[in-house]
Amino acid sequence: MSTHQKSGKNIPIRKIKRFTLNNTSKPINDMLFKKSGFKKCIQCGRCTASCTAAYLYQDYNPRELMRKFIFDDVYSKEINELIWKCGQCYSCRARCPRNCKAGLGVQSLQLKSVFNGNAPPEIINISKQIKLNLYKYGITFLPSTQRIDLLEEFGVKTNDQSIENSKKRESLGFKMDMTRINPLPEESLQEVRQILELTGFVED
Amino acid sequence: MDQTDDIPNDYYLFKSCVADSLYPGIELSVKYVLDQINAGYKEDPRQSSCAGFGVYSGVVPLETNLALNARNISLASETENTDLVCLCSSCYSNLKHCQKLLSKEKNLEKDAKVIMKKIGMDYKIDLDIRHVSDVFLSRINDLKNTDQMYSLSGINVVTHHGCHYSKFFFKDIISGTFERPTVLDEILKGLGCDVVDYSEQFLCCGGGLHGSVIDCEYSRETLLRKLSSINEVKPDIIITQCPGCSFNLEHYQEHLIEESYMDGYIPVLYISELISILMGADPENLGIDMHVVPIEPFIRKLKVIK
Repeated sequence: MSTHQKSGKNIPIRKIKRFTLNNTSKPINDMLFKKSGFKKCIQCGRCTASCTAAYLYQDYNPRELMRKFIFDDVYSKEINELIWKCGQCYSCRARCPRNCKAGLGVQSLQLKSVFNGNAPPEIINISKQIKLNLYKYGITFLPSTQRIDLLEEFGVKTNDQSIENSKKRESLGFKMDMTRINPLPEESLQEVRQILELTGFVED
Repeated sequence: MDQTDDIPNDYYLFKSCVADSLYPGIELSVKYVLDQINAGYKEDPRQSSCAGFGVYSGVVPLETNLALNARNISLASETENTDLVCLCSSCYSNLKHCQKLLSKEKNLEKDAKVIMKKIGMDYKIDLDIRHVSDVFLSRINDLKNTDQMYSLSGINVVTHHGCHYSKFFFKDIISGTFERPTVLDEILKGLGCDVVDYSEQFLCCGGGLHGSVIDCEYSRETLLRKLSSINEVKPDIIITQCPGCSFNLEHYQEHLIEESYMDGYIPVLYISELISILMGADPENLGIDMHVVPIEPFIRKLKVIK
C-alpha cells in the first residue's frame, strides 16, 4: 500500500477503484426501473429513514437497494425476496433530496419477478385473479377479492360485522359479489379485453 | 399554498373498485354531498378500473396500465368535463402517473396510441386529474352554507391522508405539504371541528400490498404504531380520503384493543361520509353504517342543530 506524506506522518492511501455509471442500467431496460432515478442517488439514506418497511424488517433497506440498482446487482434470490417487503407507500420518494423513487425500481423488479414466475405463490395467485377480474368484468377488485382468511385475521367481532355488511350491499342496490351497480357495457368490455390481449395481460 | 381557485363546478367521477367493493357508502355519500351543493357530475359506466390495486401489488405490467388508463382518461376527455375526480388515493396517483408518463415519454405514448387506434378510440389525455377532497376544499363555502342537521362543535378529529395522494405527486397537494397535508384538516376546520395532531401522521395506513396479498405482518405492525399514536390524542373520529386506508384503520382495531394498545374503538369515516351525516343523510340509506367499527356512538356525540 502506498503512503501519503502529511505533517511528517505516513498515512496509508487505499487504492480506489473508480467506476462510471455509463453501462450499469443495461440489463434492465425498463421505464419504471429507469424512473427510479438510481443514477442520481447520493446514498444519503433519507429513503431508509422514512421507509415503513425498513422500520419493520431489518434486512429491508431502500438505500442499499438503490446501491444494488447502481451496480446492476439485482438478480439474486435475496433481492427477489426483499422486493416483496416494500409496501409501495412512496415515503422514499417524498423525502428524497434528489427526486428519486426507490419504490418504482422495486415495482419494476416485482413485475419482472411475476413475469418470470419467481414471485411468491400468493402474488402469482393475485395476478391470476386480477387478470380474470379485468377480463371478465373490466374491474380489478371485487368484494370477493379480499381473502376470507384475512378477515379471520381481524377478530371475531370485526369478522361478524364484515359478513353482515356483505348482506347489506343488496339493500343499497349492489349485488353481493359485483363491484358496481351498472356493469361495463359489452362494447367497453370488448375494448378492455383487446387491451389486455394486446399487452399480454391475460391468463394462458 | 392555495391551488383551489381553478377547480370548476362540474366533474367526471372516476369510480373506485376498492370503494365500491368494501364501502359502497363512499360513492353514495360523495354523490349526496355534490347534489347538496348543486355541483354537476357525470357517471360513465364505460370506464374500467384503473388497475391501481394490481399496479401497487406489482402484478399489472406498465404497458397494460398505460393502455387501460389512456382509454379511461380519453373517455373522460370526450365529455365536456375538464376535471376527472377520483375517490381513491391509488386511482389518483396511478391515473396521474400514467398521464405523466404518456405525456413525457414519446415511445410509451406511441404504443398507447397504436393500441387506442386498434380498439377504435381517439387518444386525448389532457384533462385535470383531482381527488374529491380537493373538490370539497375548493367548495368549502358551499359546504358551510348548506342546511346542516348536526354541528361538529366540541368534536376532536384526527386525519389520515393517503400516501398515494400525498407522497407521489406531492407538489400537487392543494393544502399543506407532503410531510403534513392539510386538505382534510382545512375542510374539517371549515365545518367547525377541532383537528388534533398526532405523532405518526406521516406513517402509512399499513395497507401496502402485504395486507391483502402476502402476509399481515406489515399491516399489523404498522397499524400498531399508527393507531397507538392516534389513541394517545383520544380523538372522537378518524377521517380519511381513501377506501383502503379506511379499511386498514378500522379492521385492525379489535386486536389492538384486546392487547391494550388502544383504550377503545375509534370510528373511521371517509370525508364525504362525515359531511353527508352532518347534512342530515340517513347513514343506513347511504351504506355509511357498513363500517366494522360502529358509528352510532359518534353520531350520538354530535349536537343537533335542527
